[in-house]
Amino acid sequence: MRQEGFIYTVLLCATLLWCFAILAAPLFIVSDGFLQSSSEFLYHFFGRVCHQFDERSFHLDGQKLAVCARCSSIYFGFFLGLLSVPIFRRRPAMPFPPRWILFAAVLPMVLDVGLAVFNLHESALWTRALSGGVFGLIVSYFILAGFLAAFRRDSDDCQSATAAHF
Amino acid sequence: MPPKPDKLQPALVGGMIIGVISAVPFLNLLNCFCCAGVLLGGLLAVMFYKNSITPEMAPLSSGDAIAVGALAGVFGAVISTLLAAIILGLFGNVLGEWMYEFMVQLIENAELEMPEEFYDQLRESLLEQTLGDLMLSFFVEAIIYTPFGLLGGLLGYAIFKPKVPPTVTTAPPLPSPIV
Repeated sequence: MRQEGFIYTVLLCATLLWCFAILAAPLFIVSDGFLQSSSEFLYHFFGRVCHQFDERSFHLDGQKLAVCARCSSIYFGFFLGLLSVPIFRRRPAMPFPPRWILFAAVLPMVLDVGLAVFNLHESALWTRALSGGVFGLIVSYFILAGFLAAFRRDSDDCQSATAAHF
Repeated sequence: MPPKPDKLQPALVGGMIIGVISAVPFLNLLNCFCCAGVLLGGLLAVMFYKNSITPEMAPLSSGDAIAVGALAGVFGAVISTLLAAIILGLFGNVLGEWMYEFMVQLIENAELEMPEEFYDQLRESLLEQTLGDLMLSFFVEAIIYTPFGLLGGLLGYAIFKPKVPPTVTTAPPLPSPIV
C-alpha cells in the first residue's frame, strides 16, 4: 500500500512538472537572462513532441503554450485523471480497465482528425481540446494501473485483469 | 517453468521502428502528435515480446512491458540520430528546406512585411545543422523517447495483456459455532 502510494506520488509529480514546463515556456519568454534561455530551451524541447503551430495553440499572456491545444489537453487531462484517482478510489491500487475503454478514448480524436481530413467536419480549437482531454483523462488510469501492477510485490495484475471492472 | 525470452531483440525491433519514423523526413511529422511514432514503437515492441512468449513460460507482465518499451525508446533515440545523420549526409536537410519554403510562402500569402533578419534567423534555425545540433538532438531524444517508449509499452500491455479465465471466488468458511 505504501509502495503504491509512493509510485502514485512520483507519477503525479512527474506529470505536474511536465505540465508546469508547458506553462512556464510562455511565461518565461517575456523575461530576460536565464529565464528567457530556459523558455527557449523548453520550446525547443517540446518542439520534438509537437508541431507548436500558433493558430492551433492555447495562449498565455499573449504567447503560445509550449505544445498545441490537443497536446496540452492530453497532458492536462492526464494530470487531472491522476488527481481524480484518490477521489474515486480509496487507494490508488486499481485493476486494469478493460481495453475497449482505451479504444473508445482514442475514438473522438480519430473522428476529429479523420472527418477534418475528408472535409466532413471542421476541427476547431475546442474539438481538439475536448477530444485530447478525454483521451488524456482516460489513458492516465491505464498508465497508473500498469505502473502499480509492475511494482506490486505479489504481482497479481493478471488476476486483477479478470476482475476488470471500472 | 522456462525463463522468459530475451527483451533486447523485441526492444531493438521497436527501436528500429521508432528510429525510422523519427528520422525519415515527413514521416517524422507523426511525432508531432505527442510522440505517436515513439508510442507506436514501444507498443509494437511489447507485441513482438508477447509473441515470443510460449505457453510454458510465465505470461507477459506490466513490468516486462515497461522494460521493453523503455529499452525500445533508448534504442529509438540512438537509431534515429544515426539515421538522421546518414539522411542529412546523403540528401541534405530535406524537411528543413521544405519547412523554410512553406513558411516563406505562408508569409507571402499573408502579405506580411518581414525584415531581412527574420529570414536569416529562419534559415539559420531550419536549414543549418551542425554536429553539435545532432548531439543535442540525441540527448533531447534520449530524454523524451525513453518515457514515451515506456508509456507505449504500457499501452501495449493494456492491449496485449494475457487473458486469464475468471477465477471462482469462494466465500470464507463460517466460524465454528461456540458451544
